[in-house]
Amino acid sequence: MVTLLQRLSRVLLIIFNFRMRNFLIVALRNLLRNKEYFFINVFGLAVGMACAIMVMVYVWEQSKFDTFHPASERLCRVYLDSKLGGLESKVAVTSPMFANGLKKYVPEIEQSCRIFKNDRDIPVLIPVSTLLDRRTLLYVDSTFFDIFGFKLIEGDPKTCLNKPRSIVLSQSVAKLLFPGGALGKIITVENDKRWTVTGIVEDCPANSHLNYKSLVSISSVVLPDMGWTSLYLYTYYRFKKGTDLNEPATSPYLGLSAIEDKLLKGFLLEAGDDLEKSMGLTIKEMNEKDEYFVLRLQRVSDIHLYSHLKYENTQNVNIQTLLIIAGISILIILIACINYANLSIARLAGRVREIGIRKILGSQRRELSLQLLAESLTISFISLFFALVIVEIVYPNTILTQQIPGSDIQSLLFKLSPIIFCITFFTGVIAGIYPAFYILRFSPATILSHQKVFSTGGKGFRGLLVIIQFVFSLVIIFSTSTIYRQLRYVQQIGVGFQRDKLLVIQNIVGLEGDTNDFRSHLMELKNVESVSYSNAVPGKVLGMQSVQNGKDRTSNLMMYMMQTDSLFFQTYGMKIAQGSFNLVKYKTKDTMDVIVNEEAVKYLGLKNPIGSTIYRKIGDTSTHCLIIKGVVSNFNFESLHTRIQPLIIFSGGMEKIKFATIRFSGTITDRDIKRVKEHLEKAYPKIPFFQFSMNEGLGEYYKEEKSTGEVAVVFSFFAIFIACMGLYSLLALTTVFRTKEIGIRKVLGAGIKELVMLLSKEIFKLISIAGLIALPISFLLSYYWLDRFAYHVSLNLANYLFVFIAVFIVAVFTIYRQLWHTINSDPGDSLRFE
Amino acid sequence: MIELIDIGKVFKNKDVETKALSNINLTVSQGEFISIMGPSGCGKSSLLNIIGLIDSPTSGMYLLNRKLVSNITERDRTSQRKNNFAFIFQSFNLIDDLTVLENIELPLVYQKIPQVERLRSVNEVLERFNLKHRAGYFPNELSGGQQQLVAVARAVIARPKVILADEPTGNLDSTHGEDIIQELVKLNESGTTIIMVTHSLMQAQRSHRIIHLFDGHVVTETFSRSINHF
Repeated sequence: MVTLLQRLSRVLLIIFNFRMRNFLIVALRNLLRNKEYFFINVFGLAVGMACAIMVMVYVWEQSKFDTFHPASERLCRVYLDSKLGGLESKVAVTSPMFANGLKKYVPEIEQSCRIFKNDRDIPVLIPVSTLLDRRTLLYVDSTFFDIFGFKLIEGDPKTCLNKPRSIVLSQSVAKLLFPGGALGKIITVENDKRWTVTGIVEDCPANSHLNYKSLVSISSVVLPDMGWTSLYLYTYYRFKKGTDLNEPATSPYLGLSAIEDKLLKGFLLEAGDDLEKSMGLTIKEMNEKDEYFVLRLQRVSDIHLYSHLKYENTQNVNIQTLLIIAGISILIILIACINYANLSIARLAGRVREIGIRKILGSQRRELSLQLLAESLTISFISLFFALVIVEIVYPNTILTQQIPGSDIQSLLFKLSPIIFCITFFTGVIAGIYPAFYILRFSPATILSHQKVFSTGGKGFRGLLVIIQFVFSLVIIFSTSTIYRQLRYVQQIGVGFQRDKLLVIQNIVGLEGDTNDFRSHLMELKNVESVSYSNAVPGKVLGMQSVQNGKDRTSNLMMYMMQTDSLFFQTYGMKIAQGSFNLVKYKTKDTMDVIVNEEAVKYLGLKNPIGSTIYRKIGDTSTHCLIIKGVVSNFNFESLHTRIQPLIIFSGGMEKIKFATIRFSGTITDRDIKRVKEHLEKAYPKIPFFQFSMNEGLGEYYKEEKSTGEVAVVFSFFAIFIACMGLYSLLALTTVFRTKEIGIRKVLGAGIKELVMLLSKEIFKLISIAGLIALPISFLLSYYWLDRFAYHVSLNLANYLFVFIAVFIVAVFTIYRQLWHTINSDPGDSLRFE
Repeated sequence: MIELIDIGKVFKNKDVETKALSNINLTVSQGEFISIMGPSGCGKSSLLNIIGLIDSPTSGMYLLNRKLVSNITERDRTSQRKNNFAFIFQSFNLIDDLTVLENIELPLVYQKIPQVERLRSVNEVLERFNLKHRAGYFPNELSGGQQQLVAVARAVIARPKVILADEPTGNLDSTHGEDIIQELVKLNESGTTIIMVTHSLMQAQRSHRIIHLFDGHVVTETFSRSINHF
């Protein structure tokens, strides 16, 4: 340690001695003499650093989700992982019984909390007429404030959610509803229910997966089903201090931890019978068939980055996405570093004489190395200053912050300052180390006598650096183009129905028997072609149920169920593959006609599906016989990330319908939506409706990919910009070195074409080599990214060539000015140059 | 063949204007061997560059083969240069990255002569100048005299009408210098017009006419030997 400090102090002394100051003055003069290169160096490095800093801030924010809760390392959410009927499923929702029902089997549980979200908005009548958004209205247990670290500003955290009809408002909602103070006030909601404001909580921090605006005691709502196998709410556990959540179970089963094993055992003791009944299989039989149903835990702080379950509370970020963005930013800073190193080596040629003379006058090798390093560090830190200015201006307006609004960039930068300092330092060292050691290998006599060798020296290495830069740029641009092609594909692909011109109205449960009137009302509107009802729509399909194939009733198969009216297929423009779309509700009490999709026919192994039967268990004793009346061509009712699943569509009573879908004759305009809204508000003033276009609804699936794409586009631009800046200056320097040669060639009769070829040939050769190297890397990365989609665009050479040609053209434009200038100069000027 | 009328050349550098040449009037006939002499900085090389269409005059008229070339475009100048002139420089001006053979071949490449023909010509010239054994060498592997010999070989290969030599022996010892002058005399005797800038009166006396320059002006013109007209 002492030796290290001694060495450090010696280095500092050297840095600040007179000779070093002299070096720095000369270095600064040198830098400022070549203003264009200085600008390119500083600006290129600043843009690269700004990208890296912005991504670092973004990644930092994303990795700090839900870490502010007390004992967050012991705070977990339970989820279900199952494979039933051959279909694997991971769902975030659990039964309401889990929270307290399993405590006796798992003594390590210290506290539990349930969070339930209604599927419709709640209209507020008093004090102001408004809606409490279903997405931000959480029904929670009274333990909410014990488990989570949200700050209650007014009210008692222990009791505020104890009683039914208690509501805790976030500060912003409280201000909106009761500007004069909300605590103790009454909110009258639909059906004249009165909720008392028992607390005011801080607005939900942006870095939490629980996106709340209002919290209502869970006892205020009648939960749909209290069965152990009814899954619809989230369950959180806080475990006791010292609990090892990673300890493996004594008899390892599907990688369960000891705690998860205890939870499962408790669940099976409580709900094994229910599960067996609904599955039609015993647990033993399930295991024999390689099927399972287990409970797993995930830390709350891991949810945002790692959890991608069905029925997530909010949309989480994919860690893969984060890695892509981080990777791109590293590549960009490397491109900027290469620029710097490349230009520095090239620039050394102009300083060979200075360094040679310094050596003759007695300058030590170490001092000269330090000088060159000091120069690159100076540029690096000047660049950091500009990088911070860029971050300050750009970051608040980028897509990165749109996901976490209100993040304070200054405090984040302060927190990250040691890392930023290190990045800057190492950027300076990496960029300066090669030039420093390159020139110092030679003796003063060699340097002075072979100046020409130096001016063209390092050409091979510079070429390699240019290749690396363009490989990085091509990889980034091709990957971005793949992301964009896939996004366009998911937006335009035929999903098996005509997705345009469809408007879905949600929340029509309140209509009850009034459906025919409702339809008539809508049909009166301009441009409306048809209206259909269903309990699910593509993008919002209900859960699965266990069925049995009529030919083999021993097998239990899990299939998605959907309930529609007979106009559904016409409204959605679906194609019939076999049979007909005419559904009869119930033929007899226990028999009904159904339509299945093509995937279901495959899944059930039916050769002649029409007329085949499927059995569906209803409760303990009753079984429905489903007769296949028609087969609908496959359509994507979930995202394109997953393969199309087997689906049964049947016609049922209208009491369970949730959605009405309107087909318009033309593209849906804002006017159409406004007209529907006004019409419904007039006809049904008490029912709060919501509408969304089918395209918009399906677009929700690809929100994350869309933002990745946007970020990638911005960074691709930076990458190619920095690379081209490097190319420009490199050509400029190369041209300077070759000025005399150009003159000679001109004198010998070289024309414009020959000179253009001469100067550009080498650079284009380098870009072409980069193109060949980048090809497999780009394909591999794109393949890896596309793999997340069950349906995706194909990768072909034509697309790559298109990107390559585009980069090539940008490169041509970059060097055009330089070439033009050189070629049009007088050969006399060139020959005078030396 | 070459007619310069009131040629002037001014170099501008930031705020400073330097008059390199003023009111130069000169006529050069085909087959002449002319030497230009004068102290350093008197404008000898500038004059040579203007004659060779490497540089353009600031004022005056330049007629080449009775055609006005003082204000033509760079493209036309390239074409005229290619068809009429060849250059020999004091600092040789060979391209370091090219071999002796490639350096000599270069003017033919720009004249788009087919490769087979090019190689034949290059071989002839290499033999003539006794450079065959150095064909694969790079310029920095040769002595100064050999480099200048390569430059002369490069100058003659395209059979130019005029050879412009800017102090061709300035960087050479007397023996090598004499070799080069002899080559130039031979070339002139075979009909090539030669305009040479030199500091050596002895070498200048091998030409037909000596032009003395001082401060950008032609001060005297002396005839040293008669022209052998073809």
